[in-house]
Amino acid sequence: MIEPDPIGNDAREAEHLRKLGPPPHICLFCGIDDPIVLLRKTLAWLQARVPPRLLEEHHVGGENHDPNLTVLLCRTCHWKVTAGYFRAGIDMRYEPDEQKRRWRKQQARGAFLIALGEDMVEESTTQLKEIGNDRT
Amino acid sequence: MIEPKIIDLRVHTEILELPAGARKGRRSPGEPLVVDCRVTQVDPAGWSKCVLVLDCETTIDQTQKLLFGSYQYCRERGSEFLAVQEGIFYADNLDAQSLAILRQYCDVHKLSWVSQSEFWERVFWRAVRAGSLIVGFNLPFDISHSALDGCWTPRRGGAWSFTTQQFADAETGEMREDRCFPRFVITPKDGKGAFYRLTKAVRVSKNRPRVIIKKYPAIRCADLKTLIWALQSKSVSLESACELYGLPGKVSGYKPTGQVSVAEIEYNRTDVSRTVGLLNAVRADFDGHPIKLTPEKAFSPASIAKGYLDAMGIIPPREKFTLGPEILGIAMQAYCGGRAECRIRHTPVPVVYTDFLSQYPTVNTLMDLWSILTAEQLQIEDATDEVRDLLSQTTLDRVLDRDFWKKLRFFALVVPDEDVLPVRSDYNGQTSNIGLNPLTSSVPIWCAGPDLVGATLYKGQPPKVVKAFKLVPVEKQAGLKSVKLRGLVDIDPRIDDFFKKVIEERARIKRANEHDPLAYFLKILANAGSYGLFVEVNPEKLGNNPKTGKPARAKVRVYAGEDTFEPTSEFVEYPGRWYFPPIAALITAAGRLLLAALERAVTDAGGTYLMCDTDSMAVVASESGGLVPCTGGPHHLPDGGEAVKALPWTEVQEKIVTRLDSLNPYGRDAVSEPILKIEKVNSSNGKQRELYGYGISAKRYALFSRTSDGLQIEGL
Repeated sequence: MIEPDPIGNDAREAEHLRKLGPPPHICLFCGIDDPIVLLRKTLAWLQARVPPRLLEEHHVGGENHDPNLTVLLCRTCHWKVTAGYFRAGIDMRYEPDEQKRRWRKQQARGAFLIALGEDMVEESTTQLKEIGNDRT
Repeated sequence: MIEPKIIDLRVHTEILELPAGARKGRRSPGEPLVVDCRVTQVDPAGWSKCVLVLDCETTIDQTQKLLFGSYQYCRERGSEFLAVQEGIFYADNLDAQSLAILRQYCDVHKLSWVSQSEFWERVFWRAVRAGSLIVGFNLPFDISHSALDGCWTPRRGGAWSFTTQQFADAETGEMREDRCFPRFVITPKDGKGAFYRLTKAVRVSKNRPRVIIKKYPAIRCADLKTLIWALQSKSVSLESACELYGLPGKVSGYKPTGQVSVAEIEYNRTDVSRTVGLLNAVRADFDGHPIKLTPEKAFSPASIAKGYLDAMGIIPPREKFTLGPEILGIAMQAYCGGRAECRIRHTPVPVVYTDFLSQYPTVNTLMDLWSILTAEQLQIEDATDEVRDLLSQTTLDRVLDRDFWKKLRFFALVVPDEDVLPVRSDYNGQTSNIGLNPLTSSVPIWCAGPDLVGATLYKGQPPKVVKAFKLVPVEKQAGLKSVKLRGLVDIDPRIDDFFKKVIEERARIKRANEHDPLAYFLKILANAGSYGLFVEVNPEKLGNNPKTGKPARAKVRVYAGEDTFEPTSEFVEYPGRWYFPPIAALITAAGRLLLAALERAVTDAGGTYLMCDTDSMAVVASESGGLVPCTGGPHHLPDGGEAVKALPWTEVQEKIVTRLDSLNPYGRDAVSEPILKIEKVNSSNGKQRELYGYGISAKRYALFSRTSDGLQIEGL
C-alpha cells in the first residue's frame, strides 16, 4: 500500500508517544506493549468516560482493609486477582482490630504483587519461547 | 634590558548572579536536566527513527537567493535509512517560467512539490514533530537559504535567527512573521559546526486569522560535514566525503548554473540521494563506537573522546574531586597554550625538521596523569621543600629520566627574577600573545611544575619558590570498566594507561597496514582526549537589559591565583563537563618542557633552531654541518659576517634524537620509532635531503628544498 503522507503519520505517532511519556509503554496486566493502542489517562478521566462494565476499580489491600489504594483493572483481571486472594486464604471481611486489619492489608497487597509477578514471569517466558531464546 | 609590561593572567570564574531575564545557564556537572515543558521531556538517545534530508539550490550571484530545493524523508529500516517520500520545494517568488519547468518535472517523476512556505509548514515542522533528525551537508547553508527571512542577533554571543512562517496581515495585507511557529536559531560554533535551536512559539500574532500553537520537541540537526569532522578529523566536501566512505563520487561534471532547468533539478536530487547514502555510511562508522553520544552532539573528535571517557566509567574530575575553586584559579593562572616561536627571521637556513611523537598523549603518560583521571580522590599536599630540592637538582640529564616526570605534578608560587617563563602580554601593540622570555616581577606568580623545571634549565638556577603544592591521586575510583575502541581495541582503565595504550596500539596497527583507518582514528582519539577538553570554557555574551537597553551584566566571582574578587561582567563563562585546569596546565607546561629539553640538547651540541611550534622544532642542520650566514648569529665567517652553526645530520641523530629517546615511555615492541621523529619532509626517495627553512614570525614559516628548477615549497 502506498502511504500518502508518511511525515504526517510519523508526526501523529510521535506526538502520541510523547503524550504517553517515557517508556516502558505496557499494560500492567494484559501485557500489551504496542504504544499505539495505549493511552495515558488519569483515573478521573477513566471513571468519567469508560463504562463501568469495562474497567473496575480494584482495592489492592482489600476494600475493607485499605479503601484508598486502588488500581483500574478489566473485569477479567479483577476477577483473577480477587480469586487469588481467596485462594491465598486472605480474609477480606472487615476486621475491627486495627493491628489485625493492617496485617490483612499487607497479606492482600503481597498476594497482589505475587499475582503481578507470576503474570510477568509467565508473559516474559512465553515471549522468550516465541523468539527461541529460552535457555531453560 | 628590562622592559616594563603589563602581563595578562588567566583566571577561573564562577557565576554568582545572572541578570533578570538572562538564560539560567547550562547544566553544571551533576545538576539534573531542567525540563522545559515546551519540548520533549527526555534527552533523545541514538539515531532517530526518521530523518529529513534536504539540499537547496540558489542563484550564483552575490545574493544567493533560493531557487528550489529537494528533500527526502527517510525511515529507519534495520541500521539504514530508506527514503519513503521525496519532494521538491520552490522559492515563493520564483518566476512563472521556472515554476513551469519544476511543475512539469514533478508531474513526470511523480514527486510532491510545495512552495517554500508550504515546505516549512507541511514538511519541515511536521518532520520535527515526528522527532526526525534534520540532515544535510553544510546544513546551515540549506536552512538559512530556505528560510523566509532572517537576521543576526547579538544575544548570547551572536546567532542567526530565521523566520520560517509568515502570514498576510488581515488589516494591511502585508506578509508578517508568524510567531505561532518557532524561529530557527543557528549559532556558529566554529568553521566546522554550529548549534541549532528553536525559540518559543507562544506569542499570538496580531491580525492573524487563525491561531494554532503546536508544541515542538527539541530540534535535532546533524550536519554530515560536522559529523565527519568529529569521526575522521577531516574537513571534507560532499565529493571528498563520498570518496572517503567509498561511495560513488560526482556522477557527472555538472556545475550549478543558478537557473532552474531539468539538469539543475537532477543535480540537486542526486545530491540529496548521495547525502542519504553518505548518512548511512557515516552512521555505520558512528555506530562502531560503543559510546553513548547522539549524532547531533558530535561536534569534534573531542566529543568522541569524551564519549569514550564516559564509556570507561570515568567520572569527570570536578564531579568527583572535592577541590575548592581556589585550586582551579591557581591552575588557570599557570595555564598557557603551546609554545610557538621564530628564532631566526628573514634568513633562509638549512634545517632538519623534527616533531615529538604524539606530544600531549606522551606527556600525559610521562607524568602519569591517567592515575589522576581515574583516582577516587585527589589530595593537595604541601610540597614547598620538596619542590625547592627538586629544582635545585635539575639538570638536562635528570629531565631526560622518565621517572623524574612523575614528580612534576605540582604548582608553585614563585617570585620571578630573570626566569624564562611563558608570559602572556601585548608584544606587538595590538594583540595579546604568549612569549617565553625572562620575567622579573615583584608580585609572586603561580606556575606549573614543568615550566619551573624548564626555567631552571634555561637559567641554570631555580626560580625563587615561595610555596608549592602537589597533586596526589588517592585510590582508583569505583565503576571503571573496559571498553573496545571502535569495537576492536580493548582498553581497561583500571590497568592500562589510556594514552599509552592507544599510542602503542596505533603503532602496532600502522606497522601492519599504514593506511588502516583504525590507526588514524587512534591518533585522533589520543590527541583529542588528551588536553583540550580539560580547559574547555564556553564564553557567552549576555544580551541587553530589556528595560534599560544597555548591556546586561552578571555578577561573577573571579579566582586569580589565590586572590578572589567579585566584579560584574557582560561575559560569562560556562565550563565544559571535563573542565579541570590542573591537568590542562600540567599538560601544556610539560609540552613546553619537552621543547625546552630539546632546545637545551641542541644548544649543548653548539647548534640553534629556526622555529618551534608546540611539538615541533626545525633544528639548523645540514648534511656536513658548518657555519651558515645569519645576521645576529654568535659565530663569524672568514669574511667577518655573522653566522649560526648548522649541526651535521649525524650529530642531530646521535646527540639529540638518541639522547631524547630516553624519555620514550612506550613499549619498544609496539613503538619502534624514536620519541623525537625526523619528519618525512626531510627525506626524498627514502634518503635524507637538504631541507631549508624560512621564518617570518611565530607560526609563519616555510620549509623548502632547492631543485634544478629553483625552490620547491615542502611545507608551510
